[in-house]
Amino acid sequence: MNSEYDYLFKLLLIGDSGVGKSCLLLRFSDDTYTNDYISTIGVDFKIKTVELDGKTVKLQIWDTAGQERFRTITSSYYRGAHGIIIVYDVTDQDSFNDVKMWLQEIDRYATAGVLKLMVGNKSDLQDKRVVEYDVAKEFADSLQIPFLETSALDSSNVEEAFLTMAKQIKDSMAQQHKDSSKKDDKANVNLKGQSLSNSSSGCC
Amino acid sequence: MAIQTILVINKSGGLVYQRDFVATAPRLSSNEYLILAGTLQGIVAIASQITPKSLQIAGKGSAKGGVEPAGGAAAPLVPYVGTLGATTASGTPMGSFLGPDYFNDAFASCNGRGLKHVTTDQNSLFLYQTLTGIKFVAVSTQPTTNAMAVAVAENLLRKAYCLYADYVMKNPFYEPEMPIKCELFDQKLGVLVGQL
Amino acid sequence: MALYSFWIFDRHCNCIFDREWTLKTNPSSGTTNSKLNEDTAKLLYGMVFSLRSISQKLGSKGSFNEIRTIATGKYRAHILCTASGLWFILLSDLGQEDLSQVLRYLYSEIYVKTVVYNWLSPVDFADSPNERRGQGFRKIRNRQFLLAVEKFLGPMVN
Repeated sequence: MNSEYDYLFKLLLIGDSGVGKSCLLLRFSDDTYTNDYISTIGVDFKIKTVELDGKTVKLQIWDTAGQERFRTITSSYYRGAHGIIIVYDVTDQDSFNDVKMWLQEIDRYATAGVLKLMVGNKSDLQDKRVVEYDVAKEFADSLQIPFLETSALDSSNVEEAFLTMAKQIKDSMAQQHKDSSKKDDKANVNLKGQSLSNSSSGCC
Repeated sequence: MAIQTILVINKSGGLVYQRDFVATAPRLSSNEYLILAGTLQGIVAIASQITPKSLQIAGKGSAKGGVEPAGGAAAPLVPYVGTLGATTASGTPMGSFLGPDYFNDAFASCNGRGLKHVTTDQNSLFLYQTLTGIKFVAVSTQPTTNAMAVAVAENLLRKAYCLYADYVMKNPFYEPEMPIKCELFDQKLGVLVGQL
Repeated sequence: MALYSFWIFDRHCNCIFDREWTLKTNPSSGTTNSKLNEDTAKLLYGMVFSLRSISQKLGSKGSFNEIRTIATGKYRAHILCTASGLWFILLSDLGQEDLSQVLRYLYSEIYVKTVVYNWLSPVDFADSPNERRGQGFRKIRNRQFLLAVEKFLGPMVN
C-alpha cells in the first residue's frame, strides 16, 4: 500500500538543451542512477524524499528535454506542477535570452500561481562567462523571481533552493486550507433562510 | 485472469494510489512506481500524437473543418458489465448511490486518442482516463487482447472511479491531488477487485 | 481490416524502414522510407522504449516480458522484438487483436530472406557501433524486400 509518503509535489525543470539541467540534481535525488527516458519521451524523473513538519514529502522532479521536437509533448508536462525551475547557461547568451520564451510557456501551460526559480548554471567557468550576475539578477528581480547561480561542482545552493520551494508549497497548501475555512466563517450562511423572502420578490 | 496491481495517477502525472492484489506482484519501490506513473503520463500524450496519417485524413473528411470531437464520433460505447461490484456480498450497496449499481448503461470512453491498453508476454495493462484527467490503471496477471476482457477491465476501472468519487473526494480530510489514504476506499476497492 | 503503417527499428534506435499507407482504399498510396528521421518515428520509438522498460519492471524477475501490443482509442500497435535487437512495428485498426503471426512472417520469411541473406546489405545499419538515438541515415533500400513487403501487406491494407 502506498502509505510511504504523505505529500507528492511536482517540480518541473525547463530550459534550453545543453544548459546542464540534468547534472544539476544528480546528487540531490534518492537514486543516483539515471533513466534514459529523456531522449525518448522528453522527460526524465528524479525523486527526493524529505521530511517536512513530521510529514514525508516526495519531490518528483520532472526533468524535461529542451529540444524543439518535444515541445508539444513537454507542454503537457506543465500540468499541475507546483514549482518550476528555469535553467540557463551563464556561458551561453542565447540560453539566457530564451528564458523569456520559457516564461511565456509557463504562462501558457502552467497553473497561475506556480512558484518559479531562475538558475544560472556553470558559474565555475568564469573565463567563459557571458551573462553577468547583475544583469540576470536585475532581470529576475523585475519579474520577482528568486535567482541564483550554481555549478555542477557545487550545487548545494540549488538543493537548498529546492527544499525552500518544497516548504513554500507545503505552507501555501496549509494557507489555502485556512483561507477556505475562514471564508466559510465570513460567508455567514443563512441557515434559517430568512433572506429568501426578501430577495424572491421579483420571482413570481 | 486476476488483477495484479491498481494505480491511480492524478491529472499531473503523480502517483496517488498503488496497491498490489496478488502475492506474486513484483516488489517495486515507491520511487520506481512514481517514475512508472510519470512515464505513463508521457506515453499517453505521445500515443495520441502519433495517430496514423490515414486516420487523420479520414477524420478530417467526416468532421467538417478538421476539428475532431473529443471522444471521437465513431468511437463505440463500452458495454456495461453487470455483475461487477453492484452490491457487496452482504447485500449492502457499495457506494452512496441509491440504485443497485453506479451505472447500468454502456458508456463512452473519455479517452479518445490516448493510451488505453497494453499487452506484454506476461501482463495486460488497462488505462481508464476520466474527463478530469485522472487515470486509473490496472495490471492483470495474464496478457489478453480479448475485446470482452478489455470491456470488463474498463468497467472495473470506471467503478473504481465511482468509489474514488464516493470515498476519496467526499472525505473531508483528503487533500486533492495528494496521496490517497482512505480506509473505506481501500476496503471497497478490495471488495470490487475480489468480485472478479 | 486496415493497416496504417509498418516500421523497423534497429538496435541503435534508428528507423531503418517505414511504410505508411495514407488511403485505406488504395494499397499503393502513401510513402516509403520518407519518415525515418521525422518526429513520428522518434515518438513511436520512444513510446515503445519506455513501455518496454515498464513491462520489464512489471513482469516476474529473471524472465523476459516483451511488449506485444499497444492500443489507444484510435489504433493498435503490434510489436515484435527480435533477438538481434530489431523492432518490427505494425499499426492497425482496433479490430486486429493480434498480428504477431504477420510480424513473425515479415521477419523470418521476408526480412531474413531478402535482407539478411543478401551479401550486399550491411550487417549493421549504423556507421559506428556506438551510434545511438536515431542519428542514422541508412535504410533498407533492397528492392526484393520492398516488393515482398508490398505483396504481403498490400492485400491487408484494406
